[in-house]
Amino acid sequence: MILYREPTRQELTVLRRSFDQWGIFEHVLDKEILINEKKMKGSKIKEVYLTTKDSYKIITENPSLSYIGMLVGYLKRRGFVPSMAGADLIARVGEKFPFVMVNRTAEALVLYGRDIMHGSIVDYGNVGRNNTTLIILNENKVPIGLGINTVSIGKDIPILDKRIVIKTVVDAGYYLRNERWTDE
Amino acid sequence: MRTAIFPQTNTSRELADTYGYHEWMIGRFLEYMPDVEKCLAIMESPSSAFIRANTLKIDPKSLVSLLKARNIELEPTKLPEVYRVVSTSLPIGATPEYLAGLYYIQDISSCIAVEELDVLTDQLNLDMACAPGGKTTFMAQKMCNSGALCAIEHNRRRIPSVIFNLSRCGVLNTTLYNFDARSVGALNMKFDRVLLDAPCTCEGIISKDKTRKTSHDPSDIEELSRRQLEMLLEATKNTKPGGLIIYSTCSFAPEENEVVINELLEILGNSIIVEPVHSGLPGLTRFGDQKFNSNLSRTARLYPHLHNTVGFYIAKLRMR
Repeated sequence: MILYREPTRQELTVLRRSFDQWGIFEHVLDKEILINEKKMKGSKIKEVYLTTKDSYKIITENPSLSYIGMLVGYLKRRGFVPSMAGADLIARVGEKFPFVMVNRTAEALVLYGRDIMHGSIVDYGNVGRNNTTLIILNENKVPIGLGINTVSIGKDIPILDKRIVIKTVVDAGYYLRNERWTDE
Repeated sequence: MRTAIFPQTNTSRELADTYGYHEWMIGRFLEYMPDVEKCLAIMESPSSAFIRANTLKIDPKSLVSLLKARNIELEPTKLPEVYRVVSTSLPIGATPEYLAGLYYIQDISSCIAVEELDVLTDQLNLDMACAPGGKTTFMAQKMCNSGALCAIEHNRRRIPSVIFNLSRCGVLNTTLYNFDARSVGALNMKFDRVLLDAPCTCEGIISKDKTRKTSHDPSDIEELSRRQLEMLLEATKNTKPGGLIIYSTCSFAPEENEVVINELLEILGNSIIVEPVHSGLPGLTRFGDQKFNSNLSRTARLYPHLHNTVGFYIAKLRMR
């Protein structure tokens, strides 16, 4: 049984600010935000879920459920960090979010959790300083991962082609690598 | 009810030997299945692959273009979101588009079951046996991620696969429970639409899993039939008046299909209406020496050799 709770006022403020930065504030307005606190390897993790108002009503009466809505990310000290599903949501409905677009060779590598070299990037946007969490898109704008830039990326910044510039944090191939799920 | 077994014949023995089935299964097939040998032969080859565009994330035409660029050729079907995979140069379960939840690999028979459920936005709906989440995600898609969808899965080990698929497909409106669906009354809710894709012997998916030719015996059919009726009765207790229930299995066995519906009609009488399903062959109205309610002809049987699907059964029931 998992117990979900509403975010505290302070948590809600941080989340709203982060959602605004990722460009999904408007999209989230008619949804319910829920928090599930987990302990993993001794530290506390706050998972952030989005669901519909009707589903939220259900769990107020039947709290003993296994899962609700969508795990969109994690609330950390520095703010909200998207999950893969959250990255996908941002890529579909968000505005002005930081991203890099990679070529087809890099796409296959990212789906195996590999990092990205400068020469693989075909486009980018809203990425400035290093250590920015950004969404990795393929050439068809399909989100395939989430990364952090290890160096600044920009027109005026010379970077050697073979240098890793994006560290892949999570990728869409993760689930399949860890377990074989079967479809119908 | 005891599983009907018929006397051995030369044909049943020969077909059982040729295709590696229990003889008693073939004897039963010969009682109700049209062109049995053709069906057995078709099930020796892998069944057609189908994908369903996830309209929560992409429109079907755009998906077709994306996959064409990866040399995956698709062919439309009678359902606008569903395509048959004509040819592919790579596994369709490992493309970035699949991983991003732009489509779901799902037999068209499962999609027809959800289509017949007439799911609308802002409803309160239930999926009583949801793993791995194919029909659940299709229901959520039909609901445009609105309202609320309760999904139940009894097998704890199958819960992660459901979460993966809900997450991959961008589903927001689902609450997932791990308990036996025969206790769904504990949720204390009445649903607009209920899908019961009941646990079954899976005789209909032999083309995907050859072990199903010999993995069960008549007592398994009896046990499952009893359980299926209990689940269906629980579904009827928790559906709103005027609400719809789809009962489906991927089994050919009449005891898991028409017999279950027939017993339900005997128990509930006029409080339930069998509505027509617009696919497949009519359900059986007799099997061996058993005669069923004539309304069972409104239910549907899908056969691999006739409908290019896995073997499937669908009954559409409306509560008065």
